[in-house]
Formats: sequence, structure tokens, C-alpha cells
Amino acid sequence: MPTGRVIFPEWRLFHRDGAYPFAEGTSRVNAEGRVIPDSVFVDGRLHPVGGLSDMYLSAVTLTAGSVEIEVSDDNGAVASCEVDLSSPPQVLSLQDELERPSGVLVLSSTGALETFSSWSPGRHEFLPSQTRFDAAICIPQPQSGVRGFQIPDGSVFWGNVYLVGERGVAFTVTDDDEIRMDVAGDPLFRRRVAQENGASFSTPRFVKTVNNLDPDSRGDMQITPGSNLTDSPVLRINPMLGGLKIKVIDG
Amino acid sequence: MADTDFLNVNAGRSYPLIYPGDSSLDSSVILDAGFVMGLSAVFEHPDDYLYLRKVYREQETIYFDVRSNADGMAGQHFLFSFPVDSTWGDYSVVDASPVEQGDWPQPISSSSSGQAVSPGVEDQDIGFAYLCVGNVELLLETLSSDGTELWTSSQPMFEPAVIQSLYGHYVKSVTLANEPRITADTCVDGSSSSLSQQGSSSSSQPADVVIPTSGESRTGAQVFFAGYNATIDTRDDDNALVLGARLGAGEGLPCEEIPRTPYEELLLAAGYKLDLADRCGDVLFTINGVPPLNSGEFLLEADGSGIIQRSSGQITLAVEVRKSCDNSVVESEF
Repeated sequence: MPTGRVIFPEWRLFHRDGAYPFAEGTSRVNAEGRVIPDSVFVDGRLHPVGGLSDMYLSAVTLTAGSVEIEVSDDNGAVASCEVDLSSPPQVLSLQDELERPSGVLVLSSTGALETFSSWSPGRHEFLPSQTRFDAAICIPQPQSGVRGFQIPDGSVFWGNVYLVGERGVAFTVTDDDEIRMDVAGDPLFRRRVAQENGASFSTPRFVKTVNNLDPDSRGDMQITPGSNLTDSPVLRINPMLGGLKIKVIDG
Repeated sequence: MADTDFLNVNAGRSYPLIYPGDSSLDSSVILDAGFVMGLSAVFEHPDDYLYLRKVYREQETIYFDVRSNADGMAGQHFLFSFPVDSTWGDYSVVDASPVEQGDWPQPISSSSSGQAVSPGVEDQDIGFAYLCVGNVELLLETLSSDGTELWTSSQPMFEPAVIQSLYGHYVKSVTLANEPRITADTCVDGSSSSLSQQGSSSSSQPADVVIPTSGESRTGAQVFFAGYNATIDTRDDDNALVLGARLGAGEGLPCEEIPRTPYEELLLAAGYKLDLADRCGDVLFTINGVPPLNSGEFLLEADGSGIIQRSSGQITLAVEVRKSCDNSVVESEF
């Protein structure tokens, strides 16, 4: 690289002295009087999923030993990055609330964030008019298509996703190319549990017939007192918890 | 006064490469670049980067070979091509593509530099990029003839802000799979089972793997169908797809084996049982509508003078009936 070129300073060097990556006309000073010097950020690219074009640095939060940078658009926070000040990087990797990559902010040096160490601990907020980013670094990323599967514990799955039928649940493909889910049960689950626990297990023998009679389609067998030829049958069969109570009524 | 247009300024500085650039490549050759790293590239800032590996000439074309240390970029590169008579501001837009066989020195951070690996496979989700060139004539002083190369001595990296990573941004495909069924060592009738399942050994406990329903990953719009005992609902407030189960829901109670893979369909056709699943009506679940206790035990209780005798596979119920008039005893057996 030729040296001594002062007309065209290097990219990062050039932007140490200007608003970029913030838009021209922004103050970089919030209501508390906190100032983000031009020399802190020199470049960036923001592409959070669902992010709009007008993104801005909405907050700098200082805690013991760390700094969190928050980026928002008109709908609220869209990305953030927490930096350990004991080993600060020069490139801040931003993520959204689902921990998906949302862009980068490039610092002028690894020590650039020390600027914030003079601020009081806590959250320091900024308005769009103060810290709106230059349009060139904001890449709107529409929420089109399926962006991911999220399960109740907050985990998100993307890329090549497996849907796995487990323990009595089966996923198959129908002739119409649909995803079919069957919940057919796990008839041998006691064997599985026994083996997982190291216990012995003997194969159960299910009752399938009574006197060679099959149950009905719901698996139910009816035992009745017999014919009703008499007006006062003595045999009674009454249901109880877990079984039947059979008794005879004295004549 | 200097021309301060963007490309002109870039000709005088390393951008889009990180300063200090490579002294073997004049800063006026590459003026601008942009990279969109797809999901398959697994590109993660700030640890991953893109770098210019080499510039070379084949006949009347100049190639710029850009590579990355990202996991998904192994065996892949962005290969930009320009005619030797390219002019200021010409640009090339390319998709990532597999490298040639054997042409893969490891990234600059690797200690095993120079070791070749197999090229990657074609994948439209690796990414795409553009490169804009300026003073190509200057480059031709080095690449004067067919087959000449310019190995960049320090393999300069591109500015991170010219790279947009879509890693984790979307679902690429859905693959259906099922946990292997547990199998019985012996069948219900006591005979030895010769059934061996995919993904399991001869043991009854399946291996810790899942078996794809088919070999195909599914893409595009998907339709879910509620099968036996299954419910599929949506929840608008949090955009949720709720997969649930309720006895008798969907297609009702299962009355047939459900083969989960083409292999299992073959097993069924050959007369095997899959997991000894009980079809409708095969097993007693209730008597007079009464289910057993949680232990599975069903109670038959005779009230008063009734007697229940149990022998193997047989229950005998005997009751004594005392006639109120002559106090005689009649024993009945059911």
C-alpha cells in the first residue's frame, strides 16, 4: 500500500472524524447531555429481521464491567450487543431477541468503548433525531417466509429443521404430500422406562378376550346380570373405582 | 482538486479491504464489494471473515478468488471474473460455488495451511456477492499472460460491514423423522421376535438416533394434517402453531399400524408387527365402561356372601343365596 496519501485516508480513519455511521444532522447528544464522540463508531451494517430503514442507537447501558448497545426502529428494540469491557472486540456483533445475527458496528479501536466508562452506571437513552444511523448501513430485512420455529422455552430453530415424532407420536407424509401427525401412543413404554432405569421387565400379556369373546371397537367388554326374564333378578353388577362389585340380593 | 466520488476515493484507499492492505495489490484495482452470506455459510461476526486468496488470469479473463473461514464456506468460494479489457467501475455478481478439486489451502488462521480438502457441494444458500473493479490495466502489468497469478501475500480481509450474514434468519427445509420404535424381545404370544428395527440393535432399546420418514427435505408451503388422536390448532395472539393430542381427535382412535418409514411399510407387508401396537378391539381397556386402577389392576368384588376364586386364567364367582323361608342354601357359580 503506498504511503503518504493524505487526500484519501483509509476508510476507518476517514470516518473517525465524521458522523458516519450515524446520519448527518444527528446530534449524538441525548437529553442528559451524554455525547457519543465521532471517534467511537466508524462503520456498520444493520440487518435485523423485520427491521425498518430508520434504525437508531436507542440506548447505552452500563453495568459493572460491560456495556450494552441497543438498536431500535420505530417499533422498538430490534438488536443489541453486550460487550465485556475487559476484552472488547473491534467489531460488535449485534443479535436480535432470538439471538439471530442482526449486523455489525465497527469501532475505531478495541478501546473505543472506554469512552462510556465515564458515564454513570445505568441505561442512557437516545432519540432517533440524536442517533439515527445513516441509510447506507440500514438494510431492511422483511419478515417474509418462515423465519424459524420457536418452542415455548424460547429456543428458536432455523435452517434445516427436523420434526421428530417421539414416544407415541409419528410424523408421516400423506398421499397428498401433507405432514400427518398421529398420536398413537407408545404401547411398550413400560419396557422403555424399565430399561432406562435399569429395572427388570417382563413382557405384559394383555387381556384380549374373555371366554373367547372380543371386546367392542372401543376395547370395552360388557358383563351383565343375564336375561331379564324375571321381574326381580337377584344379581347386581355395579361399577366401582377400578372394578365391578357383584352382589346378589336376597329374595 | 481530487475527485471525491465514492469509487474514486476508494481507489486511493484499501477499502473494501481492511487497511493495511496487501502491497502486492494496488488499492485502485478493487473499488467496492458486498457479500450476502446465506444460511448455509454459517457466517458469524466477528470471528468469521472473508479474504482475498488470490488473483489470477486464464486466457483473457481475470479471476478474483474470495474465501472465508466460516464453517459453511469450507470448499466454497466467490469467484469473480472480469475480461482483461474491463473498465473503471465494471462489476461482477456471482453466487458462491465449490472450489476445484484439491484447490483448497486452509484459511490463514489455520496451522495446517496448504492442506487440500474436498470441494463443497452446490448450495444456493451459501451466498452471493458483487465486486467492483477499477484500474485493471495496472493489474495486467503483473498478470501479463495466461496462467499467471497474483498471490496476495497477506490474504487481506474485507471490511466486516460489507458482509451481511443471514445465518439463522430463515428455515431452509423441514425434514420429518421419528424416534425409533421400541421393540419387544418376545411377542405377546411368547414366541421370539425376529424383528429388528432400523436404528436399533437386537436389543429392545432403540439407539439414540432419529429415522427420517423419507430421504427428502421439504421446502415451500407446508400443510399439516391431524391424524389419530391429534389436534392441530393455531393461536393468533402469538402466531403459534399448536400441535396437541386428545383422545379421539383428528382421525379418531388408531385402528391400524402406522408405518413411519418406507422400511416399516415393507415390514408390515411381510407380516411383521411394528411395535405390537394394539388395534381397536384387540385388547380390553374397560369392562362395563370401567377402566382399571392406575396399576392396571381390575377389581372384581363380590358383595355379601359372594366368593371369588382365582386360578390361572380363570375367575370363579360363587355366591350363596339363602332363601328367607326355609333358610336353605343354594350355591351358584358364574
